Formats: sequence, C-alpha cells, structure tokens
Amino acid sequence: MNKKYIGLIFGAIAGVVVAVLLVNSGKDEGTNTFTAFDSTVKYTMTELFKSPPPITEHGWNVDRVLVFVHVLMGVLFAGWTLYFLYCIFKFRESNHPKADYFGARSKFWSTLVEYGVIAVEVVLIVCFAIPLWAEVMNDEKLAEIKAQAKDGSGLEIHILAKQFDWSARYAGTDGEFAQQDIRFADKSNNPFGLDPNDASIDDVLVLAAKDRKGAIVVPADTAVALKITSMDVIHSFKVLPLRVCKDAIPGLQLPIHFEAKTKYLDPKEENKDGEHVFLITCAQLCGDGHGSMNGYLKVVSKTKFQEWIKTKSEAAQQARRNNLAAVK
Amino acid sequence: METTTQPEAEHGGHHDDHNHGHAEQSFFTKYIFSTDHKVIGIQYGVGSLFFLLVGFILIMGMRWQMAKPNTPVPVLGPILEKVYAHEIALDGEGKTVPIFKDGKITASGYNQFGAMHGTIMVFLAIVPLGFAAFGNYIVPLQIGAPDMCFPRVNMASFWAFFAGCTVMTVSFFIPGGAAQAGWTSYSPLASVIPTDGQTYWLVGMVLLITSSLLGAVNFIATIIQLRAPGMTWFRMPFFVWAQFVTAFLLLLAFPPLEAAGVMQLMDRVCDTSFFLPSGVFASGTEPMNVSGGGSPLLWQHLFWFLGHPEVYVLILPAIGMVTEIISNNTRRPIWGYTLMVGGILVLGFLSFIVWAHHMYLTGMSSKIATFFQTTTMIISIPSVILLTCLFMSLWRGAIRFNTPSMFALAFLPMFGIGGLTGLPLGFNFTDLHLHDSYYVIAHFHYVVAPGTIFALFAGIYYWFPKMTGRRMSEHWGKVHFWGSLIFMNVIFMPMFIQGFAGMSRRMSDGGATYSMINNPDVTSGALTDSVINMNSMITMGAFGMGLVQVVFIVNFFWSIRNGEKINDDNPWKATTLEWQTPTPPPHGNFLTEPKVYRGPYEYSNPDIDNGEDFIAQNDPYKSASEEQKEAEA
Repeated sequence: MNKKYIGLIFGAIAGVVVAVLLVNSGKDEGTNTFTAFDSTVKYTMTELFKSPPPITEHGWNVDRVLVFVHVLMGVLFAGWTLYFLYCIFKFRESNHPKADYFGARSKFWSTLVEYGVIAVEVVLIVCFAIPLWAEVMNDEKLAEIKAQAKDGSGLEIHILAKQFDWSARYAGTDGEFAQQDIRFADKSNNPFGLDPNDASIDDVLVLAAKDRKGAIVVPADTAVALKITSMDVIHSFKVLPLRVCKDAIPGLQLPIHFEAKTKYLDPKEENKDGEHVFLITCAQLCGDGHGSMNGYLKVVSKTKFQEWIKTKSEAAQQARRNNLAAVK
Repeated sequence: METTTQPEAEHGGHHDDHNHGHAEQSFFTKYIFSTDHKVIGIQYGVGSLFFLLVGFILIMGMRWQMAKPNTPVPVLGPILEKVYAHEIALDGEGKTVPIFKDGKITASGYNQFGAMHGTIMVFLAIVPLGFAAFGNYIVPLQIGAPDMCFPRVNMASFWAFFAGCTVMTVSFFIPGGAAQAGWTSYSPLASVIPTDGQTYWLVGMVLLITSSLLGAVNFIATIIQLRAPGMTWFRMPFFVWAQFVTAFLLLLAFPPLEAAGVMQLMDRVCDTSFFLPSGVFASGTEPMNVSGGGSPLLWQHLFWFLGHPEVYVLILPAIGMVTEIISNNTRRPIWGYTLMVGGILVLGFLSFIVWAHHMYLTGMSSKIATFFQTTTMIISIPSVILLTCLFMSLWRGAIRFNTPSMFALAFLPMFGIGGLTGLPLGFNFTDLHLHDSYYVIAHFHYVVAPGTIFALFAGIYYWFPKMTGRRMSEHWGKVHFWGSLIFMNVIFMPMFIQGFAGMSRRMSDGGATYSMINNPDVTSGALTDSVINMNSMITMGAFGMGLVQVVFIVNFFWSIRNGEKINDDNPWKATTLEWQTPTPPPHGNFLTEPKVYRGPYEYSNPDIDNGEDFIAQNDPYKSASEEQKEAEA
C-alpha cells in the first residue's frame, strides 16, 4: 500500500476519535472522563500495578490515562518483541546463511507503526493530557473555590513545608487568613509568621502533621484549593490517593485543587472515628531527613470537619488571649 | 640581522624535529601526555570504565541500605568507617556523629552516595566512555583521518576531564564528605548545605564541562574537515553521524550549566543570591542573611537545559555503535540509513526544547506545559523511527550470534522498554501520579543501563580486537551477556511496580518510613510488605550483577595479553575504514590515505562479485555493470 494512504487513513481515524471524544467531553463530571473501560482501569491499576485507588475525580482520570498509555506501550512492545524473536530465530545464520541486500522491500509495516504511534499520541495529547491538565491547573476554578470558601462550600488551605515536616493553616471561622509577616516568623514556634500580639486571629494551624491525631484535616465532597510553599529548601507535596503532587518552593506559592469524593472512599477502610488517613510524601530531595519526611492527612465528612474547625478556631483564639494576658 | 635570525630559525626547526623524535620514544609523551587520538581514546576508556565501577560500588552500598536499613554494610562497611571517617553535625544540636557509624550508612552518607552515583555515572563514566573514548578512537579511523583536527585541544580535553575527576574523587575525603543534594543539585538545598562537598562538585563540573566543550569542537571540526576523499556525508558510518549530533548537543547544551555552576559557586562562596529567594530559613530560627531576590527555578531551568540534551548525549553514541554492530552481524545494510540520519538530526534539535518536562510540577502555567508536553510527544517519533529502522534491519539478514552482536541485539528491546516508559512520564497529567517515584528511576535506568551500557559492552567486545590485536573470550563474554541481561531485568523491572505503589526516590531507608508497618493508622496508600520486600530482591539482583561484571573485568584484562590472536586486520569482515588499517593502527592511522568509493554498509550486495559477502569502503572494485556504465560514458 502507498505510504501516503497509511498516513491519510491514520489521520482520518485519529481525527474521528478526537472529534468524538471532544464532542462527548464534559458530559460527565469533569472533562473527558471516558468511563467505558473503568473496570479494566481499576483492575490494572490496583491488581497489576499495586497502585492505591484514587479518591478524586481527576485522580480517576489520571489512572485512565495511565492505563490507556500503557495499553499503547504494551501493544507496541509486544509487537516489537514478537517480530524481534521471529527475526532472530528465522534469520539466524545457520538457518538463513545468505543475507538479502534489500531486506524488507515494503515500508508498509514500519510506516504503519510510525503513523500508528503518531495517531495514538495525538489522541492522547489532544483529548486527555492537555484538557485534563488545564482543568487541574485552572486559575478560574481556584478563584471560584476561594470565593466559595466564604460560605463553606469550598475550602482554602495553606500548606507549609520545612525540613522535615508538613504544616497547614486554615482561615478559621471568620473565613479570612490573617496577615503574615517575615519579622514574626520563627521556624519552630511560628512558622507562618502570625502576629503574636493580635488576639483576634483565629487561624487554625496544624503544625508538623506527623501522626493521625495531628493530621491535616480535609472535608470530603468539598472543593479544596491548596497554596503550597516552603520555608527552606524545595520539597514536594504528594498525596498519592488524592493524585495530588506539587512542589513546595521557597519564595513561591503554588496552587493546586482537588475534591475527595465519598463515593470513591472505601467504607471498609474507614477507621473507628470515621476517618480515612493518608500519607503525605515528600517528593523532592530536601536533605538528610528527606526519607522520613512523612506527613498525615485525613479525609472526614463535611459535618465532622465543620465541628473540628469550629472547636480548633475557638481554641486558637482562646489560647492567644490567655498568652497575651500572661505576658501582661 | 639575517645572520642572527637564520641560525635561530634553523635551531627552531631542529628543535621541533628533536621534539618529534622525542615524542616517538618517551613513555610520557607517548602514553601519558599523548596527542594521538587513539591513546587519548584509551585513556578516556580506562578512566571511564574505572568510574563505571566506582559508581556501581556506590549503588551497591545504597542498595544494601535500602534492603536492610540501618544494618552494617558487609565488606564495604568497615572500610567506609575507616576511610570515610568524617563527622557530620546533627541538626542544630552541635553533636557530631561519623557518617558511617559502626559501618552503617547514615542518611547523609546515603545522600552523598546517591548524588555521586548519579554524577559519576553520567559525567565521569557514560558520557566519557560513549562519546570521548569510543568517539576518539573510532571516529577519525572511520572517516579516514590521520588524527583529530586539533590534537592538542584533544589532549587538553582529556586533562580537563582528569582534573574534574580528581576534584570529584577528592571531594569524598574532605571534612563532611561529598556533595549530597542529588545529581541535579537543586538550589536552595545545594546552596545551604554547610559542608564543602557541593563546592568541590561545582568546581569539578566546571572542569568536566570545559572538557566536553573542547572535545565537542574538536569532533565537529574533525568530521567536517578531515573526511578522506570520497567520504561524502552520506557515506559516513552511522556512528560518525551519531557522534556529530552528540558533539553539537555538548557544544550548545553544556555551557548554560557551566554558567549556572559558576553562579551557584558564587552563591556558596561569595554570598550572592542568584538562586536564593528572600526570607529563606536555612537552619536555625532566623531567615538566612542573604540579599535574596534570586530564583530557585532559574537553576532548574539552566540545569535541565543541559540535562535533557544530556540524555541524548548518553544514548546517541550507543545507538551509533549498535547500528554498526547490527549491520555487521546481520550481513546486510542498515534499513533506512538516510531516514535514521534524518531521525537523529531531528532528535538532536528537539532535545533542546523539551527540558521543562522535568519541571511540570513547579507551578508552570498550562500554556507552557502544553508546549513542552507536545514537544516531548513529538520527540518520541524520531526515537520510534530509529528503533523501527534497527528492527527492520534484521529482516532477511544472516544473523551471527557473537558476544557483541548479542549485546547489540538485546539493546533493542531493552531500550524499547526504556523509551516507551518515557511516554506516561512525558504527559504532565500522569506525572501527578508518577512524579519522583521509582517508575522514573526504572525508566531512565532502562534507557541507560540495559540500553546504553549494553551498547557500550557491545562496542568494547566489537572493537577490542582492533585496539589490542586479540579477541576477548567468547565463552565468558556470553556468560557476561546472559548474566547481565537477567540481572538487569531483576533489578529494574520491580521498580515500575514500586513506583506505581507510591515509593518515592532518594529515600535513605528504602521507603520504610512510608510502610504499612510503621504507619498502622494509615488506611490507604502506605507501602505494603510486598512492595518493601522487592527491595531485597532488587539488592540481590544488584549483587548478582556485580558478580557477573567480575567475569567481564577478568576477561577484559586477561584477554589483553592472552586472548585469541586475530590473524587478520578485519576479524569481523567489516566494511568501514577502521578495519582497513594495521592492527593496532599506527601513529597517523593509515599507511596510505584511504580513498572512499562506496557507502558504509555494503554487505551481501548481489552486484559485487568479489568472493566475499562484504566490500570495504575503500575497495576500488568495480562491478561489471558499473564498468559497463563508465565505458558507455
């Protein structure tokens, strides 16, 4: 077959697939969820690849894309290997002593492979990688979550990394983050740099979230926007079941957002307090303690979270008043 | 005037002659400060093979620590404790402990080994072996040149490399030990570590990059200028093309890191803050006393602008060697030679515009990320073309299975795995899962270890007879091959699963901190026993790998003196010019200047009836049809 026809045929197939996928995008929750192969996706990821199941919508998309890419890789590799084994068996010197100067006379198969790879990659990029990433990195979505944070339907959390633990700050009951100032900042006592003389600050701080009790708390079924930064060197905030990963870079505040869904949380895994507890991994070399820079993050129900934030916020304010009184 | 100048000129001329005669005799000028490309190639080869072993020993120590965290390292442990007896300060408290207390590897020791494993393997072992050693020895021979274009620059390149290696080696033995911020040396970590290892690393890198630059200009000039008559661009062996593109990558990609290295050096020793933002807390409770305003991301951009073309510096010479060896051992021309040349030119160009795919999670905007992931996907296409051409070359060949050919053939599927697993890493979206995991480690090791290193082994077995006049043992070569193939996969295959399970890189306890056992409260996502236990299996694989390499090392040195003598200058019945000279080639390479009449892969050409299944590039033979054509003309 003529080389040009292969290109045209694959181009047409890729075009049709792209069109169908794009037309169907956004019909489910999120973009391009493409749920047709979900049981395969789930089996491949959890049973074959031992990956912890995702609990977010975009996390499922990550897994879907991963499995689709691995199918492409598997098909290519299996094809190459079979062909390779056939060649070294069939054309070994003892079996085929006279080599043919011209070898493969038709470019059909090689062209097929090349155009096939191009077509699949175009589909993967145009229909999955670009729109899905744009959704995860969507600035408007972040602004929307911050706006929703006022009425409790969204939540903003500031994550602070330092050698070698993770801390978080919530706005508290007033919905406003207190001003930070580098003059007040102190690595061990006041990493967020809040004014110690201001008793009106009701920000809730979770410092050094190293166990279940002191974990960073996240409500289920709520859009959460994170603002991640670091006090010292570069760290990376990674919670695998959320499929969230973002570098914590000093001098920059990097955003990412996610929504943990109750429907993806396995009730069998829930502990007796009704929480799901996950590990925060540091995914960037940050010094001698890098290997032990784990953190805890737990997902609880919305109502539990409201109770927690209210108690913590009031306790924080009370503690500040007591402190100021003691100083006076 | 005339009477005074004349004798001087004569004397000068005489002096030069004297020097020349001296160069023929003195051991130092012939073997140490040599300007002969073959001697320099062998110097590079010996040096880089030594560092390949050093890098491997470092990873053996690390693998022990991962499999059995905080237990004394057998054999290496007591030696380390004695030789490597630096004290390091524990955070803040002023208490110091030895890095290798009781023969155990501490986190700091692990990070030093990790940083230096990467640096040594990339900059001191594989680049000098693939590009400098094989390039120096083979390229002038293959293009029919008497030497490199600038022999003294070539020597300077080697001695800059030597100085760089010395600085890197010495850095292990200074107080506090070697660099420990990873081979990527991200600022601010690399800038704030108080020990001097990083400073030595930077000085070493500047020297090594200088060496690469001197080598690169020399290769480019040599390939453009010194090709023998008739050696047109498309009669060049593919290996020369690969070295040509590699030289351009080195020339254009390495200077940014040289500049960045000097800048980070300034940050460390002169209190500048190119890479330090304001208000960074290094250690202690106060912000660092620096002017600030720098950008940690600038270092990453400069580093990866080198770092990504670097990947192709590692792989292109390997693909070049594999191409030579496959064509020779299938006894037929490379399928799609011009397509492959086009492929590596495109690959070389694209490798400059994909660097930020190492930085997807640093807060890059979606638009820039879209650009970089598109270029990353496009770069996979020339790679697929190269691999497909090599696979197609096997079709209807007469495949000989000797040691070099087996290594070269195994390169194809192994490099295939390495290349394919780059796809999920190239999409920024899937990086949310795979970023910094063992999947990444497995991916690039499949490219470089069973990929490039297999090609380098193939090259060593293939060109060994040219360099020494003797073959390496075929029997032990095959033992080496099968052992390496099996253990490579035992080591790297489980890492894909570890990566999916969520195991991160550079964990000095092999992930124990993130295991289920140590985190009983965690409901999902902690590392299960089966994932942690893969560490033991991988470590056993690594030790098996070490044993198999002993076979290679013994075979290599034994064969230099005792290997089977070759009774022909062209033992593999090859077409390219390096086989058409005496063995080993004399100073000046060719007895008479070669003239090239045909392409590099004329195997089994039915038109040529010279009683052999190949015809050398410099063979003036004319087929009956050619003669007829000329007569008609």
